[in-house]
Amino acid sequence: MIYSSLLYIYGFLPLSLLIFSAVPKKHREAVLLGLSGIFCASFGLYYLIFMAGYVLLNYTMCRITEFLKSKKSIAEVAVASTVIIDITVLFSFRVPYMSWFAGMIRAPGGFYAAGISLFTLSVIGTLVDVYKGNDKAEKNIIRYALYIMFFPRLLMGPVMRYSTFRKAMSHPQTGLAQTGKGLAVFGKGLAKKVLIADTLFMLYSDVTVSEWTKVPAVNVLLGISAYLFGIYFEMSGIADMGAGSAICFGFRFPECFRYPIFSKRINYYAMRWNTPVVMWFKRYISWPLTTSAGNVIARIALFLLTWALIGFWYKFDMSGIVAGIILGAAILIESRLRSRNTLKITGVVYTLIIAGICAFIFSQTSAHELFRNLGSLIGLDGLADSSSLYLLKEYTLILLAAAFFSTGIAQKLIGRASKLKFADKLFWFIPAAVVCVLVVCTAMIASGGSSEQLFIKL
Amino acid sequence: MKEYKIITAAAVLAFAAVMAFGTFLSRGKKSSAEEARSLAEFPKADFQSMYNGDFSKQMNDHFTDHFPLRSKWMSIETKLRSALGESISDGVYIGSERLLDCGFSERVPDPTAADRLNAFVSGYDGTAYLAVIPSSSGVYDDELPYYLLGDTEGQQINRLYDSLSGGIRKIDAYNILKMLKDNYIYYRSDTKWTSYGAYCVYRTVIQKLGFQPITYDKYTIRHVTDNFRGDLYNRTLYTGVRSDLLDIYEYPDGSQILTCMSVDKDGRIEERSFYDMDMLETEDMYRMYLGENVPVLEIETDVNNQRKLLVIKDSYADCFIPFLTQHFSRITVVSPEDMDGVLSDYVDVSDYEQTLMLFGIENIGNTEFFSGISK
Repeated sequence: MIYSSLLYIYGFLPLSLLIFSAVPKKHREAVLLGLSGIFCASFGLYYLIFMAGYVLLNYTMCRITEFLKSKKSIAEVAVASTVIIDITVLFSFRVPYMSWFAGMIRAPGGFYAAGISLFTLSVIGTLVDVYKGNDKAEKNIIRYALYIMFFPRLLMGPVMRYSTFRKAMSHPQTGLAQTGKGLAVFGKGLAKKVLIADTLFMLYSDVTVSEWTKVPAVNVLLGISAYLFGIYFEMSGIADMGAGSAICFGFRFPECFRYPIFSKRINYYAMRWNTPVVMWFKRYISWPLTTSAGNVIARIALFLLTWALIGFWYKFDMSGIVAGIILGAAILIESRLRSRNTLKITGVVYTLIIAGICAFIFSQTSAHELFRNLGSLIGLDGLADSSSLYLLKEYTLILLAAAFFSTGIAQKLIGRASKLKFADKLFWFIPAAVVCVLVVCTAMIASGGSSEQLFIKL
Repeated sequence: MKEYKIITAAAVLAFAAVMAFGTFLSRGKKSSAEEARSLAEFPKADFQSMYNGDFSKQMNDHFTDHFPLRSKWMSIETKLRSALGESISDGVYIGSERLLDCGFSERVPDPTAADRLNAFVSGYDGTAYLAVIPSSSGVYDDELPYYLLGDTEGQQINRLYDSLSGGIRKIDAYNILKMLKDNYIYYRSDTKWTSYGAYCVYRTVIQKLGFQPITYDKYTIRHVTDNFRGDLYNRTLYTGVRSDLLDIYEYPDGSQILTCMSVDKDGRIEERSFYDMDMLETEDMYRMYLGENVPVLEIETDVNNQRKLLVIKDSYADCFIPFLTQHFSRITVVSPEDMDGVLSDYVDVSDYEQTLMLFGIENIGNTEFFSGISK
C-alpha cells in the first residue's frame, strides 16, 4: 500500500485514526506499531517478518553497545558488525549484483523493502550516537520499532536522530484540529504527486522512449525539466503525505523539502533538498573526518566525497556519484568565487543551471546513453521538430505550474493573506479547497486505484 | 484559526467515511456494465499470497473496482488527464474526433501463426483466403502523438503475409481502408471497423472469391442505433466524442437467410435470429451482429448455387458476414476464440471448397487464436 492509493486514503488512514482515537493514551504507541505492522504487511507478510528481524537486531545491538560502553574495543566490534550487516542488507535490495543476499534472506522474487535507504540511515545514525555516548539506547522496544516502522515515515522519511524522534513522540498534540491540519498537508502532498509528478512522468517517458533515436535539443531540455521538477514533486509529495499522516496522529517531524529549485545560491539548493539526508551525511561522514583532514586539499576532497556518497545513496550507480560530485564542486566554486554583491537573479540562474546539469546526469542509466543524450542536447539531432511542438503544446502548462509551485510564492501569498483584515473569512475557503483537491486527486487515481510510477525508488 | 482546521478534518473524514461505506455496500457487485468487464473479487486469504504481497494487491484492486461512483470518477479522470497533459488515459488517445488505442505499434505476429496457417492450406483441397483487418489506430495513426508510432499496421500485416506459403490468397485490407479514411469506416469509440468499412473490403474480397459485388445503391441501410459506444469507451468512459451508429445493410431484392443455427461448446444446436436486436438493450451493443459469441454458426440462405464457404473469424467479421450471405447457399462461421479444442472438432474442412480467414490485427499475436486453426 502506498499513500497515493484509494485503499490508503479511504480505508487505512481513516480507520487507523478511528482506532487511534478510541484507545487510551498509554496504549497508543502500541496501537500505532500494530497499524504500522499492517502497513508493512501490505507489501507482503515477508516484509513484516523482515522488519521484525531488522528491528530486533538493531535494538539488541544498540543495547549491547551501550552496555559495553566502558570496553571501547568490544563495543567497536559490535557497532562495526551491525553497520556492515545493515549496509549489506541495503545493498542487497538496491544493487542488482548483490541480490544473492536478498535471496539468502529468503526475500520473494521482485520484492523491494520500501523505504530501506532511509531507515538504514536512521538506524546507523542512532547506533553511532549510542556508541559515542551522544544518546542513550532506547529501552522501550515498541518505541524503537516505531522509529523504524512508523508508517507515515516509512516511505520518505524524514531521516532523523533518535533524540529528535523521542522529542516528537513524547508530546503528541492530538485532537481534531491537528487532524485537520494533517489532512490539509496530506492533500497538498497528494496533489503534488498525483497531479504534477505523474503528469511530468508521462512527459519524461515520452522524451526517453527508446525507439525514437533522433531527439532534438528542445526535447532533451523538456526531458530534463520534467525529470528535475518531477523528482522534486514526487519526493516532496510523498514526504508531505507522510508528514500529513503523522500530524493527523499528533506528531510533527522535521521538514524535508523547503522549495530548493529556485534558491538564490546552489548551497541553499543542496541544503533544502531533503535536508535530513544531507545533514545525516554531514554529521556522520564529513564532520568526523574533517577533524583528521589536515590541509585544504584534503578538506576539498572530503567535501566532494561526501557529495559523491549522497549522490550514490540516491541512485546506487555511477550517475549518482558524478551528479553528486558536480553539485559538490558547484558549491565549492560558488563559495570561492561569488562576490557578495551578485544579483539575486544570477544566483537563481546559476542554481537552475547546476540543478539541471545534475538532473540530466542523474537521470542517465549508462555512459553510452549519457554521451548520446549530450549530443542531442547540443543540437546534433537538430534543434526542434514537430515532436517538440507537440510536447510543448501539451506540457507547457504543467511545467509552468510546476515551476510556480516550486518557488514557494504560493506559500508566501497564503502567509500574507493571513495578515489581512478579513483573513478570518478567507480561512473558510481552506476546508473547501482541501476537499476539492482530494476529489480531483481521487478522480486521477480512480481507474488504477493508485499512482505507483516513480522516478526514483528509495 | 482552530475552527477551520476542525472543519477541514470533519469535512474530509466525513467524505472519506461516505466513500468507504459506499465501497463496503457495493462489495458484492460482480461486473461493470460501463466498462464491460468483471470486477476484482475479494481475495482469498492464503499464506502464499499474503507472504509475497499478492493478497494486498488484489485487495487494492477489489477496493478500487468497488469504489462508489467508479464510472463517474473515471470519466472525470479522462477529462482531467487531457487537461493537465497529453490526451492519453489508460492507454487510449483522446482525439477530438475519435478515441484511439495507443499500444498498437508493438505487435509482432505470433511465431507459430505462419506454421499453423501453412499447415492448414497444405492439407486443404480448396482455396484459402486471408484478410487481416487493421484497427482504427492503424488507419488513423497520423492523428496519434509521434512517439507512439513504430511499425505501421500495414507493415505488421505484411510481416505475417510474407511468412505464408503461396497457397494462401492474401487480401490487402489495410491499403483499401487507409485510402478511404475520410469516410465513416471505423467507429469513433471502438477499435473495429463499421459496416461501411466492411462493405468496402467486401467488394475486393468477393471478387477474389469469384463473384460480382452487390453495388452500394442496392442496399437499404437501417441505423439500428445511434448510441453505440465501443471498447475504447469502456476503457476511458469518455463521452466527449460522438456516439457511434450501428447499421444493418438490407438488400430487399436479394436472397434471404433461411436458417441460422448456433453450435455451442457442448455441441448443442440452437436456432437464432441473424441479428439479435435484444443486444441493443445491453451495454454490449455490437453483439447485435450475429448474437452471442459461439464457436460455430451455420447460416443457410436461399441462394441456389450449392456453394459453401467456411469463415474463420474474430469479432471484426461479425459485421462483414451479412454481405457474404448474398453469394453462398451455406456459410459456416467458426470463431477460434470461442472454441474449446481445435477446428476439426467442430467442422469437416474438406466439405468446403473455399475458406476465408478474416480477423483483426489484435489477434496476429494471439497464440491461442492460431492454435485453434489446426485440423
